[in-house]
Amino acid sequence: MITDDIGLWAVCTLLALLMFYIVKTIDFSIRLHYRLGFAIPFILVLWFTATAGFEISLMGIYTGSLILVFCFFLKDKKKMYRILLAGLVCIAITPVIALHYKDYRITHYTDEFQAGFESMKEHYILTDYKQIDFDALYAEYLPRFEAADDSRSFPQAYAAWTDFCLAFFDGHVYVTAGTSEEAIRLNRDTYYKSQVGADYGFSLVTLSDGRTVFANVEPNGEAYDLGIRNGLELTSFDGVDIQTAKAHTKPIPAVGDSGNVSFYQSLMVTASGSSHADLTFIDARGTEQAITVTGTSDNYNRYRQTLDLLQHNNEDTNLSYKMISDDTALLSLNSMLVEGDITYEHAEATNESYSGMKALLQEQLQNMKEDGAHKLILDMRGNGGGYLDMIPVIASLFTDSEVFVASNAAYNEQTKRYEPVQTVYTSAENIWGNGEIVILVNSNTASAAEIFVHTMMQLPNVTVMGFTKTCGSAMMVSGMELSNVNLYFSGGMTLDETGEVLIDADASRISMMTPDIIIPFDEDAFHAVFENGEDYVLDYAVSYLEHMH
Amino acid sequence: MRAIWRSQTYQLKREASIYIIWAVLMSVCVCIILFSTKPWGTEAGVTYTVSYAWTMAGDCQAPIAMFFALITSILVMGMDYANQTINYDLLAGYERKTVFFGRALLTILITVSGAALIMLLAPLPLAAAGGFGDSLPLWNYGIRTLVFLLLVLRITCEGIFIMVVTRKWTSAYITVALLVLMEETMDGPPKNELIPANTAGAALFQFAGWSSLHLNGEIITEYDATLPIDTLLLSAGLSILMASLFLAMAAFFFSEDDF
Amino acid sequence: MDRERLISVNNLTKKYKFGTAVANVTFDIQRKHIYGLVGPNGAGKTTIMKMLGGLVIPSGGQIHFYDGERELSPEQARRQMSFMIETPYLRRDRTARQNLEKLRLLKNVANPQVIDDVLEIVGLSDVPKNKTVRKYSLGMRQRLGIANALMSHPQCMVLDEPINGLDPTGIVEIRELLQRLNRQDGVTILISSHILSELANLCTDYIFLHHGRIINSISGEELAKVCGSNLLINTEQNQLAQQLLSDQLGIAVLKREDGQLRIPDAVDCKKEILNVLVNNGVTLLHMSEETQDLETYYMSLIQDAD
Repeated sequence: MITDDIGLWAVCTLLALLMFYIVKTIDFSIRLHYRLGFAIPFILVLWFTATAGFEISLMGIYTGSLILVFCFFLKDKKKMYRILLAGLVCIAITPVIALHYKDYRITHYTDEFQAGFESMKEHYILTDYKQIDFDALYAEYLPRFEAADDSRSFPQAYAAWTDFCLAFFDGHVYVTAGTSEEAIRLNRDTYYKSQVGADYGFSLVTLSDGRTVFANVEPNGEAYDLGIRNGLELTSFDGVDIQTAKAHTKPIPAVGDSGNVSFYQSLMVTASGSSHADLTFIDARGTEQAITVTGTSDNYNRYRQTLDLLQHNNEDTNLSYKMISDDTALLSLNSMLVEGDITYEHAEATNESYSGMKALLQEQLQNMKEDGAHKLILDMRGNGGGYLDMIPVIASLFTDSEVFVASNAAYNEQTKRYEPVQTVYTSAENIWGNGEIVILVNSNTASAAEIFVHTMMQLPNVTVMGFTKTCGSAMMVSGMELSNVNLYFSGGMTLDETGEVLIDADASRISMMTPDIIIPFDEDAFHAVFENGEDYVLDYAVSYLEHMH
Repeated sequence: MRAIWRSQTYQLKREASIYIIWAVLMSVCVCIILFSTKPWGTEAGVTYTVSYAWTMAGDCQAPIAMFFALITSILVMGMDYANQTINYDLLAGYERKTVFFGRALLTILITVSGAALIMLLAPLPLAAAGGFGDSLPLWNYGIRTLVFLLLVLRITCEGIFIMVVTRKWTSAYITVALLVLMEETMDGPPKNELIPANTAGAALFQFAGWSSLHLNGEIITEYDATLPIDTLLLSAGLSILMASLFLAMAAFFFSEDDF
Repeated sequence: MDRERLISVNNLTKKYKFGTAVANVTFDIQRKHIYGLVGPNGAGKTTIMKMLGGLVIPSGGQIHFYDGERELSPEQARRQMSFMIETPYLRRDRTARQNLEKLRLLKNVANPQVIDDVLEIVGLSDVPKNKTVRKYSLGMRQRLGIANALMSHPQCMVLDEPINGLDPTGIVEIRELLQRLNRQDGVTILISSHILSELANLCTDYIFLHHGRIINSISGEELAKVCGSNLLINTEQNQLAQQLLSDQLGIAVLKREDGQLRIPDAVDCKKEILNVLVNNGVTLLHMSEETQDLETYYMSLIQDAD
């Protein structure tokens, strides 16, 4: 950071000047340790270079501080003054050099992209399946990294990486940047804020009949005053009809399946970020109106609120349950990792591992049945996945026989196909019995979670439902650490029982696994979610179960 | 200088503390290696080979060897300060420089060979379990270890400097503890890893690794084991520079000090 | 050129943070003499010896070492000298022989037998071989230090309070040892002590030190002359007597702690002094010639200096 460099230069110059005074007043023969002070600028410079990185145009400061150290060895004060002067001059002229140096604090985002790209091109497992044109992607995104290098902007590089990843339509292709949880989140949020545009006082959602309507309208805001209300239909935005506008949005926040993408597409229609936008809508009386709305700050908070209402990710304690009626229990399964369980052992991944989690789940199921439950709702919305070998452990508590989970695959050079190498099945330990199970999913149900759903769907008493499909990424994740980001992508092939790719979408962008019931996001759903703040999907599941028997 | 060397060797040979420290750190290192690789498991995808332990050197052998270097350099250089018997070295009619370099070179010899032994011997118990394996070729590990030993030299010279300046074991070890704490409180990993000693050791043993998480949970890692020539050269150069600087400062200090 | 000169110290100064420990000290050490460095604690004796040994770097002045007419470098000279400064530095967790063996190797003394020899000379050969120095008494450690000093058969020995902690037999033994070394082997010795009576029996020359400065340096014969000429009187009115003698005869009269008066260099003036006292009615209780010992001479020097 340039301010840090200036700070270092200032401190070193001051210290060097201070040393003139010190040399003048102190008698070094009294105490040898006084000489150690000459090493202080050098130590500072070392510390600074370690944290901020080496920069060749600051060579003046580096050599100057080293020169100052040589006063340590001198006994003649005149010589000390001369050396101090030499050191001071070196340090002082550094800004002049640095300012004229074209590559001052140059960044290497382009090199980093090339390294990551090469690796991905070699190792990405679904290249043929999804018909990814790596060369085209390279040509498209390289200029963005070059631009990021020119402006020395990390947010630009991060945005280039994220957009590059979005092009794969694979939930397992993503980057993270940062050394702590907060840093990772901060970088991600910065990206989102730059993508979601300005806040016009409303969000847009698409109903199951195809209409795009206003949602989460700011009460008493400018848009409200102009007549916009929840549920009214928008017909065009910024001079473009709504269908065309939707087609031009980025696939945020969903990416693995095109149906999921279109479910959320309207959220991004207002992403242009302009201070004023023209729009046309059908007002309460049925007349089309044209108005102009003003955009304020960023849309991130409203975007997040709307998204949270739509997705309704499960936030309860993992593996906790409650009785929502006399015979129905609601069990939270929002992670395929359990805190405090034995850490992963790559030895025998049998049902003996995760014994803690298994025991807890067994206990919960027993308690549920004692409480009178013979119907179960498993809330897996927001379950981002975790350890795959958890799946047979949990699923086995519901299965009467050995049910297929997934196969690990390796490429066979002769048949030119991926063939199963190792297949995992559940065991048969059913302690739940035959009671009806409904699994709730959303587009955040991903990876190990959706493989679990895939396994459970093979049971006759299981029904899977949600507003959308699951995420659509079931491949094994591989990662590489680059200088500024960590790049993750699908690196290991997983196959289903027929030997085909498990769940992930192919070039059609349509994922292979559809829930039994896609709950239509109709007007009733809209009113329940945005007017009444209800959990419509859960209510739907409850009434579905009531109608079962 | 030979007389100084001989009298110090006579004394150090009987010094149990050096052997004990080395033995303790060596056992700690071996235990860490064994518990990380778990050679008592029965599993396909064997990771308990000696060459796998070589890939782990940055997290395991290297920090322990550096720790050994720091402790032993102060211990050996500072021998004779507490009971003032170092005065005899000076009274016996040797130049300050001679006395200093005699002791310093002996210190360096002991520390560097102890560190080298830790680096080379600690992974060997795995040979009985999984053999040598092919995660990393020996010459690769050898060259990295050689550059690492230059780093050990640098740490030794820093320890020598600290001891010569503070002149008491307690002050020397307190100074070392403070310096280590200072490095630990740095915000996040340093941008330039070669400068602080702890990350410099790990940086020499970094491999561009390719990991995949497989269905049975196993993480398979292939290593790109090419030698990072520029890192090695930079590290060697920096180590030599710092070592000479500290040694020169320590020699000067020793020459001008009052005993 | 003085062929007998071994060490020459010129204007030697040492300043510390708290003040000056040694200021402008100048003296010569001649061959085959035994020098006594006399001074109270803090006078700078140890500092001077450390500077001679090279442990402390002088703030000013020089030390020159000679061999006949040729000047030696300090390192060369010190190889032919041996030192015992402050308390003997020893490794307490080792035995005497191990300590000496290490020092033998340090000083490059070829013959391993020398350790047994010196231990016998200082009287430690009966001590069990595996007894660690920690268990030694102060006197035994002192002897061990002296043994170390003897190991290299030095030309010159610099000893800082060598008889400190020794029992009376030990004191006599060491004194005889040093005298023998000096007379038979021609070893030059520089001793510091504040047990002045012992020095009196041993030294050929004296250097008196106070607050880091030399207040006097004198050979043994001269000292004997000076010390024998004091007059000691006791009167009923010592105060008045002091006044009278100083006014009428102009002699400086010193009062001892016990109230008696000491008149230095006054043996020849006995008659005049008696006359003054009697004429002024001061009753004389006692008069004697004082054979001043080293201690009183020294005390008088100090009082003069103050």
